[in-house]
Amino acid sequence: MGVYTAELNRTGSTPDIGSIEAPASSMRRVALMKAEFGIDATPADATLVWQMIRLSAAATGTAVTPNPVNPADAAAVTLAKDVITAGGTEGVLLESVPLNQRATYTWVGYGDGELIIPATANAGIKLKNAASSTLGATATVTFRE
Amino acid sequence: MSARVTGYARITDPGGMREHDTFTCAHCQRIIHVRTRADPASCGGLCKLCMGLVCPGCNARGKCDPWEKKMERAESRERFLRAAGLTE
Repeated sequence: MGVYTAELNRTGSTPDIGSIEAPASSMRRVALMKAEFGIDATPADATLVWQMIRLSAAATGTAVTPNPVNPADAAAVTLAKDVITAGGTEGVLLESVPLNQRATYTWVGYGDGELIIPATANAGIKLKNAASSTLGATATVTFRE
Repeated sequence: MSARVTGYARITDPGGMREHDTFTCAHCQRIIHVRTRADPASCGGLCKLCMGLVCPGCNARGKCDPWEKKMERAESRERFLRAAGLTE
C-alpha cells in the first residue's frame, strides 16, 4: 500500500480543478487523506467555494502522474486528472467551503475519516471551485491505494 | 464528540490561521466541521446501530446504511457485471 501526492491545476474550461479516479483495471480502493486548495492568481477579494464531490462517471482531462511519497513504491494505479474539459457525473457533495480568494484551505482525514473511493470503474472524487471557471486554482491531494 | 474526530480543517488567510476538528459521516462520507462549543445536535448524531458519527442529513433519515456496506454492494455489483460480460 503506497501513499501518493498529485498536484492538480484548474486551467481548463470548467470550474473543476481535477479528480482522482479508480482505474478500469487493477481496481482497488483508494483513500483520500488530504486535500489542499488555493488560488495561484493575483491576490484579490472574491468569494470562492471549494468543493469535493463524488463522481460516478469519469471526468475528461489531462492525466497527471501521482508521485509516491516513498520513492521505493511502485507507480500509482489510481488515475489523477487536471485541466478538466468535461466534469463527469457528479454524486454526493462531500465538502463545500466558501472562502475568500486570499485564503487557502486544507483538509486532512485520518482513520475512519479518510474519503474512500470504491473499487468500481469510473468512481472517483472531484475537486472544484464552484464559484469560478476562469480563475486559476490549484489543489494538492494525498491518497493511498 | 472530540474523542471521535477523524480529521481537521485548516483555513489560512491574511487574518491568521483557524483550525476545526472534522469527522466524516459514517453513512455518506460528508465532511462535517465541529466548531468549538457547538451544540452536538447541530453537527449530526451518533448512529446507535453502527456506532458511527453521522451528518445531520443522515441523522434525520434515521436508518443505518454504512458507507462500507454501500461500497461492498457497489463492488459486488461491478464484479457480477464483469463476470457476465456486461461492462468493458
